[in-house]
Amino acid sequence: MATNWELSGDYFENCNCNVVCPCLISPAPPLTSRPSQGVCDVALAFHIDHGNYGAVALDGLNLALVAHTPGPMADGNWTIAIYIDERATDEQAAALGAVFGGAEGGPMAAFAPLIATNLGVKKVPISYRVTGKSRSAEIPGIMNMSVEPLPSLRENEEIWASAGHPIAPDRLALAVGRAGSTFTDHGMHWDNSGKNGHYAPISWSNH
Amino acid sequence: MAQQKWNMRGEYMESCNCDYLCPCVYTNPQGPVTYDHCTAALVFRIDAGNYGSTGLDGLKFALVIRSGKVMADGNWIFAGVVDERADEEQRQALAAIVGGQAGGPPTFIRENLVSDFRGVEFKPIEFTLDGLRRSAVIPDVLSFEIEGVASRNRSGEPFYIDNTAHPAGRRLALARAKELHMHGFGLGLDLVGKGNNGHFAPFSWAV
Repeated sequence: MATNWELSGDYFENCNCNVVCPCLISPAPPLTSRPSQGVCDVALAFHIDHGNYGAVALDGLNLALVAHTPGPMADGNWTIAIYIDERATDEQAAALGAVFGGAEGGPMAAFAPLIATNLGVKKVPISYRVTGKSRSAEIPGIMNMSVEPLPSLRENEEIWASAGHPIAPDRLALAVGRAGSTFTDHGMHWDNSGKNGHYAPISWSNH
Repeated sequence: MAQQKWNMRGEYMESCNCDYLCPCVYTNPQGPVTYDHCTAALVFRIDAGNYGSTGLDGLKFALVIRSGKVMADGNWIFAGVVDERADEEQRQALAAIVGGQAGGPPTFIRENLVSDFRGVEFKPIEFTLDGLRRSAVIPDVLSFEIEGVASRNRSGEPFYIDNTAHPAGRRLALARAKELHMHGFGLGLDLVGKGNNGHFAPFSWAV
């Protein structure tokens, strides 16, 4: 029987699409739009405020997931890699690998059938910061990523979309990658500065 | 002269000539529109409202806009239509509101964005709601039919964007047009089967 898990926290992402990513706003079925550049290079960073996988606590841990898709996301053939907080114990790392790889339900399970190549999990130092309305994450030597919200004329607000995004279906901020948002590892390299971004509070479970 | 207090709430719908999704929605509206100009029709149904002691319940009105490449740059053609069912007092009240002489969003538009005001006409205004579908007809001026882009995770609901700079309100449903025709006030536009941009929302204005 599957282990019950739940987690809540914050997430952001930055892909190589122009603002706003067509996957999000297209009237076509989810993920079927052609990415702005033909391919999708996306990194997602997560901070877990509270979480547990069975009896294993996940509070305070960070994680990043990167994906490359050679065409529309729904066509599959994704290559992914996962980066887990070096502070995680082996037990926690196994739990995070299961949850974020989509093997045990929850939002990431929607993506699991699309993955052709999993480059595996690395344990790394990974920071996750929320400064005002900006989010930033760093994995030294591998990833620098930061997004800020698209400006809203509503005071102290951001523009939210109820886009049905599996990670945060009801409320996703529209954002843009800040300068220096780059990723380099596994023979992949991208700079998504000025490109599409999102952030949102997340609340996930598999039960 | 002290400005007359007024308020109204009800339903609004819109279609413009931009491809879905109109860039104005996430650029406040400082981004370039899809084509070389924006031509937009906004139709409002007042479910409850008053202008001083004059009741406005059940009446309708419309705003007609044509801008250049960037809406925020101003230089708009602007005109209004008031429900011909309004009596003389209601006509005066609504013509003042719609024409931007009584405060609220139309005054903001008139004072900041309009260079060519083409007046207010009195016409029959048909306003139809059916689930996610909306349509409006004003003979010799405009007609359009739109359908909300369905939510991917909430059955029967449209996709919403929150905290836009739009005058109708901070939460807009996203929609696409089956057709849009605009022929009043010296304008000419016919779009059929293009799936061009639309929105709808409840609205609430007060001064």
